[in-house]
Amino acid sequence: MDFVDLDYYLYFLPAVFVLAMWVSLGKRKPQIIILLLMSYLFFWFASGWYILLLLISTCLDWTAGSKMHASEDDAIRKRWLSASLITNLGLLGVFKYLDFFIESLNLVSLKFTNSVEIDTFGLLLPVGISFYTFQTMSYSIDIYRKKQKPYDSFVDFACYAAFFPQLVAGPIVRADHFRKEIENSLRIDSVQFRLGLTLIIYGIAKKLIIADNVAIHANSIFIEGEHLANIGLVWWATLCFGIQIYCDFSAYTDIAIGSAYLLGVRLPENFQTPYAATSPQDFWRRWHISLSTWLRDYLYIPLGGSRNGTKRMIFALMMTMLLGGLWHGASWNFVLWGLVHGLLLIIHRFGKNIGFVNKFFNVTGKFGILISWFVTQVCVFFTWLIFRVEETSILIPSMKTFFGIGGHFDLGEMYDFLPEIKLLTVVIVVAFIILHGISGKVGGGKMWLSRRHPIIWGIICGVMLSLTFYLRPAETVDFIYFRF
Amino acid sequence: MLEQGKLDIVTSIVILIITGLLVSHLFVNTITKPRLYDGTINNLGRYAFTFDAYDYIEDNSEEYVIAIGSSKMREIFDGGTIGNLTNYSGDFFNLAYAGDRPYVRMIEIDALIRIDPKMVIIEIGPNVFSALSTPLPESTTGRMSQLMALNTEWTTQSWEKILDEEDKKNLPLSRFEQVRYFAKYTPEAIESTLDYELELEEQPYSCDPNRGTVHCVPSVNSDEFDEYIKYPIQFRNSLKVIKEGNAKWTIEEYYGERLDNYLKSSYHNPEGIINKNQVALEFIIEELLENDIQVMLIGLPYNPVLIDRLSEGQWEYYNSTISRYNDEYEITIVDYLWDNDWIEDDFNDYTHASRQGEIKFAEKVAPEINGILTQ
Repeated sequence: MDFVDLDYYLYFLPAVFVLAMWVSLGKRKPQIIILLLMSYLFFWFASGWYILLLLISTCLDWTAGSKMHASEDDAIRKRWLSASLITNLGLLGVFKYLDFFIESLNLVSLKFTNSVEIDTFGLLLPVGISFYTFQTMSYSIDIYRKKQKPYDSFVDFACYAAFFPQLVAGPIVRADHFRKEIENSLRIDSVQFRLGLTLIIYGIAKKLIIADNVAIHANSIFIEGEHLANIGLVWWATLCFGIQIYCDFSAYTDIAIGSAYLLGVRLPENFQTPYAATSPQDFWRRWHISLSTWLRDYLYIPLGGSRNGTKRMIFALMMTMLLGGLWHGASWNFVLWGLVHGLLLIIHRFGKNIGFVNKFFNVTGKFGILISWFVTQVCVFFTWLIFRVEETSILIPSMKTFFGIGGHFDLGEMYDFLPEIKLLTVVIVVAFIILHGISGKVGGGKMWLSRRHPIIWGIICGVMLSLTFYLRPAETVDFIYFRF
Repeated sequence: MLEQGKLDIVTSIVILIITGLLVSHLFVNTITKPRLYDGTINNLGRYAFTFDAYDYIEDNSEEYVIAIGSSKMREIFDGGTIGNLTNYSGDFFNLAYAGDRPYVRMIEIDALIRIDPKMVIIEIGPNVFSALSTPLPESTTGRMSQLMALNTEWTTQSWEKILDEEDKKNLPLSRFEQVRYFAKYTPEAIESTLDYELELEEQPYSCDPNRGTVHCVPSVNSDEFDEYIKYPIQFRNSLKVIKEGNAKWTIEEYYGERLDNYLKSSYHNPEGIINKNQVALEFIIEELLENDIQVMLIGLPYNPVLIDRLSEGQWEYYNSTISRYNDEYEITIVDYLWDNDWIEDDFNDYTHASRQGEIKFAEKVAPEINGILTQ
């Protein structure tokens, strides 16, 4: 089960809502137990027996947290922290990276004579493993650092680790945040209820109207791998993928936050109009916020951060971005994606301190901001090209064409090659750009809409839902971040 | 939540549902249906025009006889000529379409009964008893799905009980599935509409009579529609073209191995058992009779060259079934299949009537119709 599955909206979410917010209204403990059991049920539908990995991670970090909190002995505390890290990273290592490691080893060994090829295990990636292991690890690390105390109840902690709206693809929630959300019995008012539904409808619309329609165009070019010398096609496909990944992922987040709202739990925002960013640093403040802050707090700063000299800062930044890239998937293009983002961040950090650059932006004012926005977005979309294409034989020519190396521009070829639904996709892309721009200036309008009169809310949301139903393509695409 | 809050939520949801349904209706009727009917999205649309036609006939004619069947009926039944040759004051409409099978046609039965024609003339022939596989071929599933989605009588769907259980799994039986079927085609419908509006593409299947394409069905709002559903645009005369030497084949080749292969196809070989098509045919007959609508079964003629090439007993099942129907149902059966009066020039090809054949058919069938309708 996932958020594009109709059963989720027809049966699962209403059932949880009725049980938790109606039958058990005002009774905190039964509410949390219901949320936990339904979260496990959701995970079972999504991932089957892999639920055992979630249980292992939950039990271990619960124990580690309690033991570390109870002990003042540093050695004991370190031992329990190591157990947590080794187990969680071990689960990630085995299920996410082992086959990738073996494949890479086989590739390298091909260079040598008498090399023996090692068989891969063919392990399937358990749904959500990258998210819940990061959540539970952060819990243990924070207790080790004495930044927070452990949960009082195992059920509460298990609910934090497994809370179904954000279990599979985030946002990555901190333990303290969730504790505050569930410390009293869960309640909502009519505005919160409508806000929850608004977010869900926004999410469904973003996913099915925008992400899935533009995905057809991006896929047609990057999967077929034809006409890669056409600059127009490569740019268009890259633009489409950039829009797809944002709408796909932020749609999931909207639905997750909306579902949580209906259950009286507020989850943190994960996006803030990332394509309005005017620098690489700005981009990372707006994109996948829960992951970038996690990486900052648990990787970048422990590796030295920016307060231990330039060399250390470059090392910490590059390591963080490389590992952040690898977190997305066991493939070299993700590593390259992280590397390029790391380089962009470093270039920006040093570039902005160069005298004439500083002077230029001081003199040019808004025009300068426009230029920095454009340059940032070209760079960001270039990294999406790397992110999208795993096949080297397609990636390298696409990268060259992106910068016009050996490419040509042929509108007729573009028109002939693009999938059947062309004009509608262009309309969708243009509408997205306009709406994203407006949303960057005045906000997404979710709160505004949920505070309107019920009739106005009903009309706007009814139109949005109908548009979604009729404008979605015949084939629904899985959420991209499910793979991570 | 407070009482006011609950009321707000209920109001919001009710308005959301009503708006959703209204917008949905707008989408289906102004964007998707026109593109399905005009054959833009898939040419199956051309076989599903009949629901429009039923509504049109009900609104524009007082008494009428309706002919249904395959392209054989479509090519031989000239409603205007037949009307002129009978004493019946009502109209004669030809709603036959290419590749028709009773199992597919039965989806229209509720709409057909609703408009209450005086008589329904149904083609009967070896093709009607031919096999229809389970699961259904993709093209048949597509055609049936489209008919189900366009069906104006979706609250009745009396034919559901006739459907094979296995077939039901692949067909949009509920209204929700039927609306989803429309939704599936909407992006393509919008794209085509934009193309036409911006004049980037030409609309397909223009109704130029010289093209003689089976796909050409004028819009229900056009002036040509009335004439069309009485006498659809006809196939070109292939035999004439071949004999004039303007075709890929010589007449010897056309009547040689090509005809042998044609006769071997399942479409011309009754399965010899009560299969899905036959069950559906009997269902159509029974439903019409139950609603006091007269039924005439017509066995349509074939090119005599083809008849001469039939193997011994190849269409015997047709004969025995006709005979059984004669005994079991209070219907009129007119059989021209074995009528020796038909000559090669009455046909455009192996099976479809030429203009000469249409006139001969009208002259032959008019007295039979008079006999029934003036009783």
